[in-house]
Amino acid sequence: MNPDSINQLAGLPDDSALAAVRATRPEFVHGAEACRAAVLEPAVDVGLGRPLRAALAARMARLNANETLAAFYRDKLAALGNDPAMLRVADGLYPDAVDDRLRAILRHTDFITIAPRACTRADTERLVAQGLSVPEVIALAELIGFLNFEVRILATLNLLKVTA
Amino acid sequence: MTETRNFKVKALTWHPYLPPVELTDATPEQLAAMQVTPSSGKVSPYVRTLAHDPDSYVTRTRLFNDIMYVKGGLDRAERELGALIASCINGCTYCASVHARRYIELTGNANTVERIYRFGLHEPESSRVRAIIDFCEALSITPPSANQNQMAALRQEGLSDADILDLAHSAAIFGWANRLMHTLGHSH
Repeated sequence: MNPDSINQLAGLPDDSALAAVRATRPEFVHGAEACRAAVLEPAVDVGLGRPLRAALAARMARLNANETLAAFYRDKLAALGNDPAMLRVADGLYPDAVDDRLRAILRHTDFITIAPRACTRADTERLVAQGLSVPEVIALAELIGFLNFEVRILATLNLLKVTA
Repeated sequence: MTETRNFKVKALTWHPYLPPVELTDATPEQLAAMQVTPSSGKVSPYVRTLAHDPDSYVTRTRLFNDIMYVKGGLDRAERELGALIASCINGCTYCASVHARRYIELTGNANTVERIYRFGLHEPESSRVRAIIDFCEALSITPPSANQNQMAALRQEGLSDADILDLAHSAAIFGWANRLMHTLGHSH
């Protein structure tokens, strides 16, 4: 069974009252870890690749002002070889000599993290026009969705911790 | 606040922007994810769109169902309210309509939903509904910005840490679902 990374990221000691509360919902704990695996390290990768997934995760964690979570995903990127272009992605930058496909991915990731309500059909169709396959567009949306889920669980745990 | 007009939220149909998986072309993993059997009828465009990435479809659907329907803890209607507030912030009219209708079914409180639809999230409400709306609104913006005052208001209304976590999960899973439904298609 996967460890509860979310407890670790929220800095909850195993014997804390809040860790005990989390343990009463094993479906949520294990479900979140299974989802993390599915978007970061899928058994069937439809094309984005693990280094880009880890780099985008770190980038979205930073956009959500969670540096602890960003460091967690940068460690995953390091374990995958720390490609210099992917390090720039993780840091919220654009790599030198970025191609149209990667530029479209980075734009969309930042945009949907910050302002999903502003998304239109043109934004999604642009991804395909810039070279993503349809399965890659879906996989990117799932990755963006997971990160935006995870940061909100962590934000709540951090608040519960300091207001206990 | 005491008017009892018959406010109804219309059921919407969701249409994908990109071509969904066709059952005749689906891989074994995609068929398993969609739980397609020889006796299956039509599979919705929503399921067939997300089946392009079968791993995440299966794991997210399981987590989603646990968060919204697991027994005990926060009242189901209040999880629906969390889903509705997140969907309002994220502009997902499809998810909003589904969960607004569920909230009304479970509570009979169409007035709160009508105020949200007509005037937004800041109209007078009972203190418990107010506390839930304020927390979910702040949690749903980017970066998530819920604060200690909102936490105190939830506790004042008798929500335990476990209840607050249930509520946060309902809003947060819609931070995910909205980023699928609103970006991958539209509804009318």
